[in-house]
Amino acid sequence: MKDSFNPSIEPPKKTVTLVSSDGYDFEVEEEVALESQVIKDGFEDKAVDDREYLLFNVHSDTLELIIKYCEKHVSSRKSISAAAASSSSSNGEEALKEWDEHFISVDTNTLYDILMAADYLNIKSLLDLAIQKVADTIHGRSPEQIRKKFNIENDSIIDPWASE
Amino acid sequence: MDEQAAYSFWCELPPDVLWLIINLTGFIGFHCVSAVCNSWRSVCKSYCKVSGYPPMPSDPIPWFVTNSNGKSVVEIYRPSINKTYKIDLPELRDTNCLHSKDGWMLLRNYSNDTYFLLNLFTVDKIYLPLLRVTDWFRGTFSTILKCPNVVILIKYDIQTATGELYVWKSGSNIWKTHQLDLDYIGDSTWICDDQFYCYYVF
Repeated sequence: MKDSFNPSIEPPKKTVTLVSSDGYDFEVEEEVALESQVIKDGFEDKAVDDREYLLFNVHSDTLELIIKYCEKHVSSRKSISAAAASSSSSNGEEALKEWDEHFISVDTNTLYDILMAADYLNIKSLLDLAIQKVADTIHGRSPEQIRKKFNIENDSIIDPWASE
Repeated sequence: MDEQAAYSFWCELPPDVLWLIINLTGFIGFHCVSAVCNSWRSVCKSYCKVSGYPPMPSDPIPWFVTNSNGKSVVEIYRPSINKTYKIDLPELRDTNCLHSKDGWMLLRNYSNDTYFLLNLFTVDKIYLPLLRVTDWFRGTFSTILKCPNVVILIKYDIQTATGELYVWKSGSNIWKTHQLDLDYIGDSTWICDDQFYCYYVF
């Protein structure tokens, strides 16, 4: 989601290129990529013209979602702090929470991919969001129901929980 | 979106990620997770090793366990949320429960006359040394860090008004025996603060 056109004079945005495991290039703004702690950690040491990251563990389908998440969070943070600076009332955080909830309401396969990517790229807030979603999904379910939900084969000889 | 179609990678979740999930699940959730598959189970085991014990419920009221009466299913009632859980374990078949504490049960299998401790949630088992006590008996145990460390069994002979006390300590493979000279052994026995108590009514 792009911000609306802003006529104030700004230097051209710096970008980095993220390459998915299946070989697709994604050009994103620097600050969006820096949402990933892994990218941030080695960022300063990398030459400015060599800001390309090969993400061997992240498929393009997932990377697209991850970028969408990071862009949303970068832009929301800006508008929240802008609202705070002008002391105008804002429900930005509330709206972002709602957006997050909608974002993470995906099937379990996609959830797995997001979870793994957030872990690999070390995007703390996204990892927390995905972990919470998994915990919520497990909550109140029996082992058999958990297996069904996550499509896990029962290789366990021990299942003390009697089916209802 | 057919979630059943694709092969699931969920059982290969990296341990550090599953740990983060376990942190949020609570007591029952933790044990449900550990029963899902062998891989999750071993991650839960290593979690217990590092953190000392599984996340314990903070209920103000104790839970009730129904006696299995020889069946393999016990019901556990949790008063604080008015919920009943059913646990089905083949180990419970043909047993009497002598005492329960911290999720553990002291059981006597009356078909082969063996005594053992069973954790209902983790299905951990501690086999006790063989003991031929077929007479009227009582039993109790204490726990340290939620794990049984001392078991006491009492055999009582009504005719001679004498009893024998059998003590097993964690790691030992024998019972220590003490003679008892008592008029009567009460209905309840328990261990508290390293003291053994019997409840009498004269």
